[in-house]
Amino acid sequence: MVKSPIQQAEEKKFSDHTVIVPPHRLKSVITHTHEEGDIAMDVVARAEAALSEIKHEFRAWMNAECDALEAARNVLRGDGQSVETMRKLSHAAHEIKGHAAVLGFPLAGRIAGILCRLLTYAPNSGPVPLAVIDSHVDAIRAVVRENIHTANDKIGKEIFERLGAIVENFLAQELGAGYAAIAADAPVALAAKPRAVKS
Amino acid sequence: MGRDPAAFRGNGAMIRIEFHRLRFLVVDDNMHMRRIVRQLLHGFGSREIYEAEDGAAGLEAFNGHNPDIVITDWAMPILDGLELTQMIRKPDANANPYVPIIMLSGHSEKNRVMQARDAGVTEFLAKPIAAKALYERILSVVLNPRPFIRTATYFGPDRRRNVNPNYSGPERRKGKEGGETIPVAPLASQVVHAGRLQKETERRSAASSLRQSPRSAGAAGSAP
Repeated sequence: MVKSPIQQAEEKKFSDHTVIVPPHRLKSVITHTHEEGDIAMDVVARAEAALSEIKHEFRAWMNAECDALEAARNVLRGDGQSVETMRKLSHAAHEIKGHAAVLGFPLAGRIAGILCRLLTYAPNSGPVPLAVIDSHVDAIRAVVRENIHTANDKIGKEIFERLGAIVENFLAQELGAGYAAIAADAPVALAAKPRAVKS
Repeated sequence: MGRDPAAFRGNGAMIRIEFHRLRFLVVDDNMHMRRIVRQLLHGFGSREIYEAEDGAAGLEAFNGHNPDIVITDWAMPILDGLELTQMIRKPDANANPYVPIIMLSGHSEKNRVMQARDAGVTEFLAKPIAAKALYERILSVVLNPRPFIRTATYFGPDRRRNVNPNYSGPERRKGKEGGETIPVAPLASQVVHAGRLQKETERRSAASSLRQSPRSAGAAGSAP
């Protein structure tokens, strides 16, 4: 009878912890070869080629992600800002932040990243200005509609930087001294004189 | 991983992973992401790939298919990726609580990565996903399995990647039997290079892990 991984594991106990060495189950899939070339590069290239086979579907997928973001924004607009409506908007923004670059829209991903930052760090004490949320949602849609596939598009980059500055100024205003803790991760530097953000 | 083939050479041979013999479970609530990961795994040569759209379905699929490697998203309905990891890592609840878990997430902030590590995740991969980064993480868990640590509050892979013999800072666990905590770099900052993996594999095969001193095989813990 084959032993389970738990039965095969070796244990050594110390006073406050136990070190367990599980069986190396995946050892059997490692082979040594003397063939020429760079195996890793070949494997990665094959995976990238496999991904490009479904590239024609990416635009439709990106539009679906934008639809989900707009739907979450509309629910938030209708029902007001609550933990649930903000969670849904944040989830939709995170999906775009994570997927847009793979789908060929890196700038949309970066703008979604700013929106995520806003929703993550905005204090619970007051509402996040809807106009700022709208600007991000609309900008992401525009990037997809205009087929901006590079992060270096001149207009797109300017929109990204402006939105980033608005968010950083808002967070700096709202968080006060607490902003210092998150300043280092800002995608866009804080402007010298923060401007007021109106909702 | 580099362009230099020598990075993969050990004793004159190169290492190849037989992906077609690996069974994957991909758990993500976003169907587009599941499709992307599946496509990349297909490209690597994998054929046996199971999918689940939330943590609960993922746990069911884990118990049903006994995958070799789990790739999971973090934010999911019903049971999220962290909870799924914690359920899998229950030593007495599953057949293989040691299964490598790669967390794929857009939540790449440092505190999130530390949370994932403390839940028992083996590798963390920040979205957007890239073929090379996914390949490196898979290579890491296949070539370089880490010992597991059980304490009163943790069960999972040894969270320390580097042991610094010259460390002279505070040692939280020092005392009984020499068990101690040695600071490690955050998971996110550790880039896995195949050359290093190869050296690590050779080092590990040369010496039985259980023969390591308590200092080098000691308890997991977060950096002071």
